[in-house]
Amino acid sequence: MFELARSPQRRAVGTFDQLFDEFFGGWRPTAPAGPALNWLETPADYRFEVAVPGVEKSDLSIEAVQGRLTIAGQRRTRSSEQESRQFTGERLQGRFSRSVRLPDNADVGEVTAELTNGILTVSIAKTAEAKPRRIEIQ
Amino acid sequence: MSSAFTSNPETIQGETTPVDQATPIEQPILVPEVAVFETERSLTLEIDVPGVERDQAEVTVENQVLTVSASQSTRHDDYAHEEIPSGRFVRTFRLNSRLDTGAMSARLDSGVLRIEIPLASHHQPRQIDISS
Repeated sequence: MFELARSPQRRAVGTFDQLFDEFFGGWRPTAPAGPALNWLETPADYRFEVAVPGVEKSDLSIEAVQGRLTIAGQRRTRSSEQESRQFTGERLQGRFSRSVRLPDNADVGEVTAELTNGILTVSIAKTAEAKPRRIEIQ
Repeated sequence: MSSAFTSNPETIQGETTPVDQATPIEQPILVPEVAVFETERSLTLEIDVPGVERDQAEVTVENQVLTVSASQSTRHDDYAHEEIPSGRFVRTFRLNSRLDTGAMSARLDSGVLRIEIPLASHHQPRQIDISS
């Protein structure tokens, strides 16, 4: 997927891909399916937000290895719901997974995660060399 | 898809009139995803509103019309990539007259608004004692 996105044909398609590359030096999510994902970069870290309404903390897994962040989980159906008649099922259900390619300066040893109001936020620190430093003037 | 990321310099640099300056900030209306469950005794609506806190959600009912609205708090305004819809969630449901809206309850947990509306008691199944 990553290679495909960088191919000349794909690049010619439009500004969306170009802007991606400008922002993040060519890294992008590897799979478009799964829960919705936001990300941003701060001077100190990279932050990823995933919309997982109704998902318990214990049903989420976060895996950060060199170059890749994978967020997986499942949304369970309550036993009371299984017994009842369901009219519509528009929403996220069952198992899901989302994987993102990380930039080289993401420090996978420094990852924190927080689940609030159905939004999972994963912060990955930048390596020390990548963080801005204040230089004293002699 | 590309349009959201394309800026038009002509528009930005163009002349602004007082009317332009008074244009309200566009806040998209989002239709939240819902699941509806029915049992013999009640109807339950589960509405996905990720990122919404309890004091930002509102549930009203009038003439058997249920309206759910909710706003998300702004977490960041400088996303490099944004898929999670942001804005105001609004969804309206017409309720069957057998539902007792006076006894409904609502609860927000983990980004899911759960509304339970019991059937009016005379529509609920009940067991009749047989007298000897």
